[in-house]
Amino acid sequence: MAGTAKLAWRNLGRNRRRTVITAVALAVGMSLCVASYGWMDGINADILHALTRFDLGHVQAHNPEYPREHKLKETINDPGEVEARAKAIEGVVGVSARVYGFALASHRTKSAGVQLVGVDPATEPTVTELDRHITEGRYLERQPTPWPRGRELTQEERAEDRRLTERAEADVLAEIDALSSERSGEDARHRASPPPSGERPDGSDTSQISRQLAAKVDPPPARPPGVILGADLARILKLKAGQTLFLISQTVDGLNAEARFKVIGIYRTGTSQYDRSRVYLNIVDLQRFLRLGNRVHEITVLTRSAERSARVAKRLASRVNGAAVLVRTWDQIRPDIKSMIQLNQASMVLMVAIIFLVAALGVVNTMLMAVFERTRELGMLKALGMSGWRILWLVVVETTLLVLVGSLFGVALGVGLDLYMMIWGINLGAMTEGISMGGMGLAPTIHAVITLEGVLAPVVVLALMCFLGALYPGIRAARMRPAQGMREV
Amino acid sequence: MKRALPTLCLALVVSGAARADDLDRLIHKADTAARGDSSAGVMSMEIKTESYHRNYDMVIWYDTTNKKREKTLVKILGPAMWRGHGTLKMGDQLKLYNPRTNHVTVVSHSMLGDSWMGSHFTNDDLVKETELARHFHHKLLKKWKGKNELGQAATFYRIKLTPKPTAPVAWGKIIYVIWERGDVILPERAEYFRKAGASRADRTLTFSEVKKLGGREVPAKMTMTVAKKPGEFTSITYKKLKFDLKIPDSKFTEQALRR
Repeated sequence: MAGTAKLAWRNLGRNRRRTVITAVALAVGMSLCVASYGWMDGINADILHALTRFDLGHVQAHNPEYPREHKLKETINDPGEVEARAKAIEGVVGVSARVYGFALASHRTKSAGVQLVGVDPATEPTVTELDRHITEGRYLERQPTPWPRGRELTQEERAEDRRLTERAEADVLAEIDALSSERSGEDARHRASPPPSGERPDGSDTSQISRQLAAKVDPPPARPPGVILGADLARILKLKAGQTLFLISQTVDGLNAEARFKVIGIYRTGTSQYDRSRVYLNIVDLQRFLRLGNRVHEITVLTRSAERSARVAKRLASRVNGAAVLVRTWDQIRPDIKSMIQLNQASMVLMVAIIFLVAALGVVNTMLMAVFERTRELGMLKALGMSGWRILWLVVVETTLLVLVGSLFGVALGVGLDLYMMIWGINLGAMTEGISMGGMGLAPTIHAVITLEGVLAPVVVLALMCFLGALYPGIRAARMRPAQGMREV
Repeated sequence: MKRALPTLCLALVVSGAARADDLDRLIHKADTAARGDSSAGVMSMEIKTESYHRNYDMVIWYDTTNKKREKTLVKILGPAMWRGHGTLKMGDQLKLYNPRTNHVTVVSHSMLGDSWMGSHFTNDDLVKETELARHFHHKLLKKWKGKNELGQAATFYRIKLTPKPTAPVAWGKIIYVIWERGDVILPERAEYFRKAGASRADRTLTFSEVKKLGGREVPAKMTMTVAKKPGEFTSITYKKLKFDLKIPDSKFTEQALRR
């Protein structure tokens, strides 16, 4: 065995230049594969980060009906309990509840449909990083806005309301009559008819009384509640921090919800879904705006790592009432992102396979040449009694040594490239302002992620390919007839 | 014989054209029965949905004398929660005023499908109200003699309206049933279909309570029902109507909207 190894080594040394070139080609191919794995794992990590750390978290709980149509009334009615149980699970880093709604947002002449997201400013930063991406103004206040509850009108108030309606109707009828009689020419008397309600001496009182009555049923907040929104949305609505935003929506029981809000901050995440169509506010404010009481739509959980999601989800599901709460992991909620990550990995494997094929062909080619130029020698060895198996073994060991040397340098070089990309990253900012994959915005600088699989897989695969490749020349050499071999020139 | 054929063809074409004109006239008259060229009406609207039951008292001012820029102003007179809310339509533009927040919202295209003030009518209905003739082809499906709501003998027409290729309308097909009795031409129902091939209407507007208002025979009550939500409806009942008013231009301004 040792003898074969020495022999193999010497054989490689016989044409040093060829051996070195092949080994170098191998090393370069290997390093590119290792670096590509690092690069792709880096991109996938960024995608996952954008998804889980800006919005989704790793595990989410909803009302079982909610995922289908996202109806306002499909809520988790006892969020406190679910949150407490989630926090108690090992491996959980953060828990936060959310409320969602839709509204028409308008500012001066611009308007846009937006998704309203109510979050708890105290717990949300434990799950998402949004608070660290404020570009203008500041993050949400922890204290909800003082907002009194409404009540039904009393008998007396309702009677007053009816009187106001009758009055308004009478005014309008008088106005219509005045116009029609003008037309028919019965002027003089009717010219002195009373002006429309707003211009009456006590007209202002009427509308004030009316507003007061309405305010008893649906009181406005003490001051405009604060909201933060994405930079893209701010641009569309031509808004700056400190300005007022008007939101029109519907409460869970079908009433009109309309109020002024104050933009206290603007953020930028790079993902258009968040930057263009979301408005965040304090969860209590949104619950009051939509009359949801203390109900929520979603409870999101951040675990220590994405790999733990499934385990944590299972544990949470077993501890909550399954009828009232549906627990899912990020890849169950966004299978499209999971598919994209898998697609990235698959396309990487394909690329690696191609690189390896070429590299392996190089090795096979070298070994073929190495074998064929020694045909006479091998023939003689066979004539002297060396078995075919031992010749095959010789070729295999030669190939292995070649691959080993190439791999060693290849891995070293590859890991070196990975380390560079991991620490300094590659900045694609020059090519594009922001990259997004599957809608997820990525930072322009991609940092590689080194994994054991990313280093070992290329080595193992290449070794296998070369080994298989060496079989062809090896078997040919082994089956050679000594007499024929010795006759080669 | 040689002369007769072209004349016969010409006669057929002319009579066909005449029929189409008749249809136009019928549809126009039925459509504008409660509106006229310019009018004002005081009415009440009742809305019943799964989540709430509401009543508005309101006034609508119409000025359709300028066909290029038809104007409508709606003002809600009560109850307190909605008193002062206004809707102003000028041509294709719709504005909504909320007195409680003192804010005017210009309705954008994305909002056209939204319900108007929580009713089963949409913002689009208000904007497109006056355009049945302009955007649709009409075809007479059936004509028959029958009895109208008041038990009087009348000629009924069932007309199919399909949108012209470039028409910006939300409906693939509308079936309009009109009846005619002498000078009186009124709608009985309109069925709206999203897809032209559908057999069941997505929503239906029925006209009832024909009586004399403002000197004309009009259906005092209109009820909109939606197929997907049985039990829900929005109905408008006219209390007073006056036609042919000379409404000042100042009635259709943002100022008037906010008053």
